[in-house]
Amino acid sequence: MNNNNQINGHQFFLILIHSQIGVGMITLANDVHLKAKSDSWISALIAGVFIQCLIFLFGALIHRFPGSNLFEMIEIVIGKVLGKILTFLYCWYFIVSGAILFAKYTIILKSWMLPLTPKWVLISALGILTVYLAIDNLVVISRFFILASLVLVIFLGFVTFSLKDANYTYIMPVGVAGFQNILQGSLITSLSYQGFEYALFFAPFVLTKKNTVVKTMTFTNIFTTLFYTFTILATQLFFSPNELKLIPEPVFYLVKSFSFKVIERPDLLFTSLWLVLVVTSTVVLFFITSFTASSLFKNKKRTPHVFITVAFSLILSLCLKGEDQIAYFSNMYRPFFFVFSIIIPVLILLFSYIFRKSGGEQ
Amino acid sequence: MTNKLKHYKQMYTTIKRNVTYIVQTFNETDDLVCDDFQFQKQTGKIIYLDTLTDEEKLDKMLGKAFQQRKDIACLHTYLATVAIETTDDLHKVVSQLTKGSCALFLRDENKIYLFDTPLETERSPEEPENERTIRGSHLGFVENLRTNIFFIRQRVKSEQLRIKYTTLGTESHRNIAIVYMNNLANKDTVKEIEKRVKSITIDSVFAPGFIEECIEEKPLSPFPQNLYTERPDRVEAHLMEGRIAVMSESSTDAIILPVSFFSFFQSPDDYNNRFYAGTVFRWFRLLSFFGTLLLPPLYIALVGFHFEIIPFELVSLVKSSIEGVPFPPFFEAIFMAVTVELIREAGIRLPSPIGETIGIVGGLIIGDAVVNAGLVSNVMVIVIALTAIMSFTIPSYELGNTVRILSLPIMISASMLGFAGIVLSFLFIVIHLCKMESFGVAYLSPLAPLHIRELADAIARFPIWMLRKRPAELRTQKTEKQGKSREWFYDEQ
Repeated sequence: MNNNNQINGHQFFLILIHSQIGVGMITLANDVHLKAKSDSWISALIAGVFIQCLIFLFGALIHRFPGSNLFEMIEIVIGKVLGKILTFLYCWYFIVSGAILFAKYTIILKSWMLPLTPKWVLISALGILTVYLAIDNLVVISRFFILASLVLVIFLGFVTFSLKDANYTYIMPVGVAGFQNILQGSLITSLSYQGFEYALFFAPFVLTKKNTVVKTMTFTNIFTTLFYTFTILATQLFFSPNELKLIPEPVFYLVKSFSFKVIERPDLLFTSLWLVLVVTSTVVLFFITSFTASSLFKNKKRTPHVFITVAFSLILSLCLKGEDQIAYFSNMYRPFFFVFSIIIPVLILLFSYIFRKSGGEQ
Repeated sequence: MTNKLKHYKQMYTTIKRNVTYIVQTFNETDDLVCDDFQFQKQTGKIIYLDTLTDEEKLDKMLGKAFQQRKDIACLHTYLATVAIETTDDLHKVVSQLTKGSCALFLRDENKIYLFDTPLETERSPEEPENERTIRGSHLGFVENLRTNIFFIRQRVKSEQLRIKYTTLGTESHRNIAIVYMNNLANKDTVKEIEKRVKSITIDSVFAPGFIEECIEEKPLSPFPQNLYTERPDRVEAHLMEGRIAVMSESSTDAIILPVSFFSFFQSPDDYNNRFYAGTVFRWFRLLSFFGTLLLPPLYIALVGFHFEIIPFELVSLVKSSIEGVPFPPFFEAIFMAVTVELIREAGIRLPSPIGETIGIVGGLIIGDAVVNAGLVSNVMVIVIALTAIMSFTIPSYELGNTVRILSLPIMISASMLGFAGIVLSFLFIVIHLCKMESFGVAYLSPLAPLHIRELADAIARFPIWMLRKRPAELRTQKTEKQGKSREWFYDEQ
């Protein structure tokens, strides 16, 4: 089943975008607003620039180790044993990320649509879908993502529609939050960019020239940055700063305020559509997780690992009870994102220069 | 396996032993006729299966002709030209006899003459009942493979049209033809189809469904992966796209492969309409796909979970209709859906006057009484009736059935999780469709993987002179379908 993993540039683009845009986008505007106030949109832009710098570094890494994924790079640079340990840690990092994703999804779904449905039903429904798609190869996954992109278009349409009630005074004066707050906001926003580092795993699968990998990553980043900035800006123009503080899911509230002749509450439809984006991001996450797990063992078959890793995540997310606990836990978990997605790859690049190591198949 | 027949069996030296052997091989069946043959001094035996042989043809070949012939030398040249084959293999004779041939044994000769004299009874071709069109050809296939191929050859007068015969069925030996354009169809696909068709070892291939189920990639999928058609013009269109048709003896259907999901929404009528109408009708068909799948679940979710989504005026309307109904909407829906299926199933095999009565009794009387009795709400009857009509709008009968059945699991999940249930179960179906492939062609192509140009003939019907290329997923040998067909228009300007 996994023999047809070769993807082209377009498919790579889709996979990266869908891994980035997912659960977090709904709450993003509120998260940033708590720090950067009316300058949240600048934070999003700065985060995009920050990620772009990382993409160039990652590009250098991919260039130095053509045809190998992050784990193979790690093994080449710091040795087999340490490499395996690090891969193991990565695996757990992904599993816990998945658990947080599942938990956040249930919170939002429960508060917006299904308050009485037991948590395990919602989580296992998502889990089944994730497993069903993640066991297949990247070509099939990217086929699904083409269809899922329709949801992004609808989403953009809704957000653009809200601009008719925009109030430009809400973001004035620009820069009032102060440089430090804006930077802190952009650190928070960069969490929503999680998924760009997956390029380090997918790069060997991409059937193009070396430069195009970086080019595609750059396009992805431009798209995501503009997408986030636009979303944040639209919510900021729609809600006053005081309102934004109180609403945890600004995008849903935005849609909720509309009302059409036939559909009184478009937010309910919108929440259902958002589930598609949740599925796409969990699928990529668990594709990577199972890939990581399978690279730990001699048997390279990925399918059983998909089942195991999703099961671990499901159980973990069921252990997290209540909104506060989940929020606390995900806050605690933030530094790990910086460690695993940014610091380790950059260190690997540094070491590879210091120890003069490069490799992979040419 | 057919090894027993392929095995060579040398003929005996005497006619009597040869005849006994054949009679015994046929287990002394009563319709095996053994006549004497005499011409001047030459004597022999003619053997044929009475029920399979056209006596008139036989008489023309072996009866009348001899009244003009005078000598033996002439007899031999004559026989050699008329016979389809001469052989000394008794097994071959047996297998030819089952196809309607006639065998001639001559005294003191070590070969057997075989004559092609099959009885051909066939009904005259009619317009297929289930694929009617308003304009264009009204010809449909019949139950005779040769006639069917004749229809295709008549339309495609090309030396590139290639037909490959194989025999399937270890007991019934049915002829199967694989038809394709040699200069268009992908060679590997042809090879693969041939390989899969030949691998079938079943004693009787009694319906085309047997072949279909044995060669498709996902046999457990609810979705049809091959297109059935009874129309030569449709077969021609698909052959010209670079697809391959598999036809079988005694069946009016051609199986076309590899097809994608959107092929099931095309009808030959689209191309005889103005392209606006063709496009819009195609949209309606696609809409019916989604409608059949999602309308009942949407209603269930609306009534059961998300009342607030419909505008206020509608709420009071729906509420007054469902107020007296004692069942939850899910059971209402199931009850009505089952009723519709029963009416369809009852009407389909009955002669048309009774079928119509069933339709009236079932549709009008039950529908009306059920609402009056307060068992099912008005709105639910409307929803289910609309769903049934939509499912019959899909040109492919198989796909229509599939979709109606698939809406059941979505209804169940809608009754448990509301909209979220609908989306999650629908996604499951979409993911399944994304996974499907038929001979290397993605089932959802040209939508996923996206080929924007080809959407012109999949979800729309662009003017014919704009459809220049064949589907890329088919990997045909020639991609261009036409040059610039409206060149004159630009020349004039």
